[in-house]
Amino acid sequence: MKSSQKKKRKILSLRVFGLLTASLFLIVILIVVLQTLSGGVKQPVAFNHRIHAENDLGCLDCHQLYEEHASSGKPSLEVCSGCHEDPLGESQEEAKLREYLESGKEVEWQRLYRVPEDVFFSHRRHVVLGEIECQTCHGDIGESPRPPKRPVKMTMKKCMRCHDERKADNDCIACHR
Amino acid sequence: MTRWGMVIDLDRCTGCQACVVACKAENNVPFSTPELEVRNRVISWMSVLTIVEGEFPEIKERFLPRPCMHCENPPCVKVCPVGATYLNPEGIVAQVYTRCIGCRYCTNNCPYTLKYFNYFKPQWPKEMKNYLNPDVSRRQVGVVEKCTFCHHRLQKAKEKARVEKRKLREEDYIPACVQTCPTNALTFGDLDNPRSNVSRLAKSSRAFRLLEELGTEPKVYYLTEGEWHG
Repeated sequence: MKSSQKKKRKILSLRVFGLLTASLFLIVILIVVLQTLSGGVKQPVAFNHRIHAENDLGCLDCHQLYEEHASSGKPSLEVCSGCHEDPLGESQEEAKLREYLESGKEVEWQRLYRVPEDVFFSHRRHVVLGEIECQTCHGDIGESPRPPKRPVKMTMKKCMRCHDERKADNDCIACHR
Repeated sequence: MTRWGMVIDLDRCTGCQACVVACKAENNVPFSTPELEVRNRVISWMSVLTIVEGEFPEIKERFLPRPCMHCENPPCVKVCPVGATYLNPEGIVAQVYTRCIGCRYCTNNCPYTLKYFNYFKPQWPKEMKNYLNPDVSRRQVGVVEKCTFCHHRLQKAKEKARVEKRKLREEDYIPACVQTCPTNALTFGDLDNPRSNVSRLAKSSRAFRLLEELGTEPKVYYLTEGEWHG
């Protein structure tokens, strides 16, 4: 009698434990899914990198500063108007851009990548002097049909590994300021 | 190999404090206030020590500008438990703020008391918001900071030299205090280059270093005042 009661209690506690773990697991999955769906950076115009790359536009054609400055530069409306003065297609996103062009208001492109305040990062140093391709850090952004919500993860470990491979300065204050 | 160092001619220093102001502006060091002064919490990477001798009106004032000594054998580095402060290959005693845990061992072990702890969150008047130097980070509360010989200027100078496809020249890189000194009391350059002004002055018979007997081997040299100072 006593042993069967013990057995029952054991099974019950196991069930409760299993139920709790399963629900916890579900909640975690739900949070992850919700986080990926919502949040992140939302651009005012869903810029299609792929279509621009397919039309023989290079990175420098729109991000015009990175060969001479520390930052790569957000494309100005003037850059867009160079091609989109007259409508080139029938996409909705282009229509949005046309609205900006007609009003003359700059597109408020949202910043995707942020360099930590204590890091000195210069695009010129990496692209021109180090001859590194944009894809090395930014991934296949040229093939994305819509703007990414999150940046490609960059860590100091990655930086230091690359510096090591290319025999670049790996001293702390070569980058930290 | 380059070994950056400084020579301070005490005969030329007029105690005008321009170096102090230049340093604060260049390196985003918050203002000193009377309240901070009373509590001995002022941060000033470059500070001019004033020594008053005699009694009024017969007084003599002597000035001693003190940046970080950038010792070759730095006592602060020896005690850092996390490697946040270290001697870099070019002779600069660096401080990596994001690595610092704020234990203040280094501040206490510096015989020159030239390392500063951020007791409070750095604050500037609203109007100053756009006047901060974007090349230098703002330090967070709870970390130690110090004179870096304006190494952010070295980072930029190196890049500029490489773009122009030439070697880094000595005059490409000078700290803000040296640049601003109106009487040219401060000289900066490569101590390992026998032809540089600093290495020439550092060998002068007037040259001495602070607390030399401790064996810290500072890379900031002083030139004594002439006999007229008494």
